[in-house]
Formats: sequence, structure tokens, C-alpha cells
Amino acid sequence: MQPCKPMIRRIPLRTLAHGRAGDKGNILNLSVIAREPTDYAHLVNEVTVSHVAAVFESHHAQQIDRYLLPHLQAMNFVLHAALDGGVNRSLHQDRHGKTLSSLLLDSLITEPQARQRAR
Amino acid sequence: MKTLHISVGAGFENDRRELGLMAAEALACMPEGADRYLIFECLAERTLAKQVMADSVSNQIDLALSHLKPSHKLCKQHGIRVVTNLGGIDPVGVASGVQAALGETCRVIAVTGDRLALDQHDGESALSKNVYAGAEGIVSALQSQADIVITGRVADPALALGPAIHSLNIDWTDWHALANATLAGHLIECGTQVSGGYFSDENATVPDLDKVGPPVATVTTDSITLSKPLGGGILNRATVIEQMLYEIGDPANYITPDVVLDLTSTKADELEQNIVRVHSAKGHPAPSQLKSLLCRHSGWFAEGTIIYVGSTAATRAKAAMKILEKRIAAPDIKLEILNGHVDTVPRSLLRLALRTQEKPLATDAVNELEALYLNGPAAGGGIRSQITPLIDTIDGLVPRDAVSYQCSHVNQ
Repeated sequence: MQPCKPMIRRIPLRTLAHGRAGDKGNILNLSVIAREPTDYAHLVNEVTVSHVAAVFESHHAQQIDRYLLPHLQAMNFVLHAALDGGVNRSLHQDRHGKTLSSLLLDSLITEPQARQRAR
Repeated sequence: MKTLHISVGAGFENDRRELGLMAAEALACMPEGADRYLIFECLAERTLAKQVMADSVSNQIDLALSHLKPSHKLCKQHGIRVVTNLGGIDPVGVASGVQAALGETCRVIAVTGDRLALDQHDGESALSKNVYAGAEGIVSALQSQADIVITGRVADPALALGPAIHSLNIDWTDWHALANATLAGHLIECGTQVSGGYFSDENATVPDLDKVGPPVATVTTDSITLSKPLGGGILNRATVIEQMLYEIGDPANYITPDVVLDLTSTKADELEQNIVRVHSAKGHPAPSQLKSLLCRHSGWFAEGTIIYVGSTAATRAKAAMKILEKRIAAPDIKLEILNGHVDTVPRSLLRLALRTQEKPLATDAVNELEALYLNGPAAGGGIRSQITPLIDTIDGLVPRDAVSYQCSHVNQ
């Protein structure tokens, strides 16, 4: 009998990170902060600009920038023109986009290797 | 090493009114021998425009006193000086009202100069134009022995930077020290957001959110020690980093009127429970231009909701949505349905949101929603609606030399 290939588990980002949404005009800021410093490198690999773009596809951001802060084990994402005009103009219930950190933290990423071996 | 202690009584205009008193009590706990300050940050981007449109100075005075009165006695007792942007569009008017209410033994100084004259380029519907002022006016007011400093529009961290410059004698070109104090302001300007409020971990791990205690920042020229001497909440490395990055944009380049803050080597160390030390913030020279904000009344929002309950709620809500789609001819409209349960009873909430330059279109939209009471699907109810002004804010730049600040001691 052939051995099974190990299953790659996907877990919600919120398992490994926390963060907060903030707005400045039509720009959405999203921080992603590792709960354990040792998970930071894995988060850098997983939570890329493409990953964030996919989560927020329906927001049609013009540009997404990622800033790394390794000494804080954190990242900051800046999504330009992502808030339907921002708090002044948006038709969303949540004009500031304050609730949007929940969407990012719910998104699925690959479980880190160390955790898989431990199971 | 010289220090000062700063706490916060409001992170926004409508923050819990007991926070100021809690902050004064927290400051009273701090070791003697250092200056103490209490800041109240109460201006959002559109606040000044709203004040121009609809408010009277007496309302603004009442708002200011609702924040300042509860802690006033304790502040006087412990020599805690207050710095706040509750002056809004009329710092002298508000300061006069506050002075009158709090009595002569209190020295209230208004700082003005942030308000810019409107010109024809700003358009017919321009409401207000202000620069984001730095700490200069606040420092002057403190040098004039103000007990309470009341400003208009300032960069939020300036409320803490001004006290730090005054008490620590920081030079205006000591970029790293300015950056450190600016970061202190950034960390506490949102009130309890750094001490357990709005912290994204599961609620169960943050105790007593019904009475979150305010942070105290103990500031030196090169470090900030954040603590939470009383109340609920939690202040740890995670809450501090979350606030540090809040709305920060490019962390290497956070531009404020008095310094450009660079967080790329900043560290946060948890010393013990509810005590975190932040250090190694870097500063770069202040910008030659200041950010200005022009507010214009550009139109109207119409918003409203109606609910349906029971087994066919979702179907009826969808039918109502189709009716509104047919009846309301507006390009900028959103119709959405929230389906859920309240106490096991299915409920569907249909929401309408619209923006328009023409007020009649906003009124029509709200009328169409209300007309569902008689004309729509069966058993719709609980209609709520509102029409509010749409205020646009436009960023600009003003040479810093074009701006000058005045201090007015309103008792004289």
C-alpha cells in the first residue's frame, strides 16, 4: 500500500495574526501582526499583495502596497482607492472600512510546517 | 532622566465621558516630580465643516465642558494641564465659554491660526479650510502658563508633542526626540485603542470592556513607557503594536507638521503586566509644507432600511428591492439585503443607500422607501431613514511660513 501524501492544511489567518483596519480618505490601511514572533517569516510568505488583492477583489483597489516591519513581526498593507470614496462618499454601511480587518483575518493561509509536524 | 506623563480623556468627539476623570486619576497615580498632561482629541476630518453648517458656539462649548468638567477638579489639585482640539472652528469662542464655566483660577488659552481664508478657487460650496497645525501654538500657550490649551485643527500627535517639547525642552531640530514624542501622541490619541479597546483578539481575553482604563505615556527624549494604572482592558505588546500601525501608511515616512516619523527600527518591549516600553523611533526633518483640508458641501446621502420577518421574509425583501430598483432612477445607489434570525425568527433587512448632488433626488428615494408601507410586499415594517449632507474633504499643501499661530488668554 502506498503511503498517503501529507495533506496541506489551510487555516484562517486569525489563528496566527491579529490586526486592525484604518482609513485615510479613500485609502484602507490593514495591519497584520504575528501573534508569535516565530510565525512572522511564514506570514511574509503567505500574506502577499496577491493574497490581499484576492480577499478584497470586490473593492477594486487601484494599488496595494505592503510594508514589512520585521522588528515588530508585523506588516502594513495600504490599499489605494479601495473604500468607494471613503467615509465622505461611500455607500457601504461601514463607510470607514473598519470592519474589513475581519475579512483579511478570516482568509485562509497554509498552516506552517512546524505546526503540521507537531500534529 | 527628565520625564513627563500624558494621558488621554477622549480619543474621539463622542468618547465615554468618564474617561477624562479616569485619566486624571491614572495621572495622579504616577510618581511625583514630573509634569502631567491630559489630552482630549475630538476632531474628525469633517467635524469643522459640520460645525460651520449646523452648529453654534454654545453647542461646542457644551461639548467641550461635557469632556472637561468631570476631571477639572482633580486636574487642578494635581497640576495636570489639559491640551485639546475641542476649540474646533472657533477656539476663542469655546475657550471663553470654558473659562466662564470653570472660573477665574483656571488659565484658559485659545490657539488660533489653523483656519485659512476661503477664496474663489475653493468653490461656491466651500465650508472651511484649515491647516493641520503642529505643536508650535500649543508650546507657546504652555509657556504662557496655560492650565487648559484649546486649539482648532492640529495634527493629532501635536496634542502630546507640545507638552513634551515644553517639559523636556526639546529643540525643534532634534528630530529623534520629536519623533519619539510624536509617536507617544500617536499611541494615545485614540484613547483606549492602545489599552485593550477595539483589540482584535477574541473578546474573552480582554477583561472589563465596559470600563476600559486609559493609557498613560511616560515620555523621555528617547523612549515611551506606556502603562494602564486602572480600569479594565489590557495593555501589552500586541495592543501597542496594533495602535502603532493604525492608519500609519508607509511606516518609514509618517509625515506630521513637526517631524517625519520613521518606525522601521522601533521596538516595543513588555516590561511587566500592563507596562510596555517603546523606543528607537527615528525622526527626519519636518516637511516644508503643511497639509490643509478644504471641506465642501457636495451633495446629499439618503439612507434607509425596512424589515420583513418570518418564513418568506427573504422573498418579500427581494421583491421590495426590485420595486425600489424600478422606482428610483439614480446612478449612485446601493440596495442590499441582510438575512438572519432574531430569537429564532427569520428577519430580512433591506437597506438603501444613495448619494446625489440634488437634494430632491435624496428626498424622493426616502419617500419611495416609505411608500412601501402601503404599496410594497406584505408586512414590511420598521422603516428608518435619514438624509445627511455629503461633505467632501480635499487635501492641499500650504507653505509652513504662510501660517502663524496666535495665543489668546480669554480672561483678559
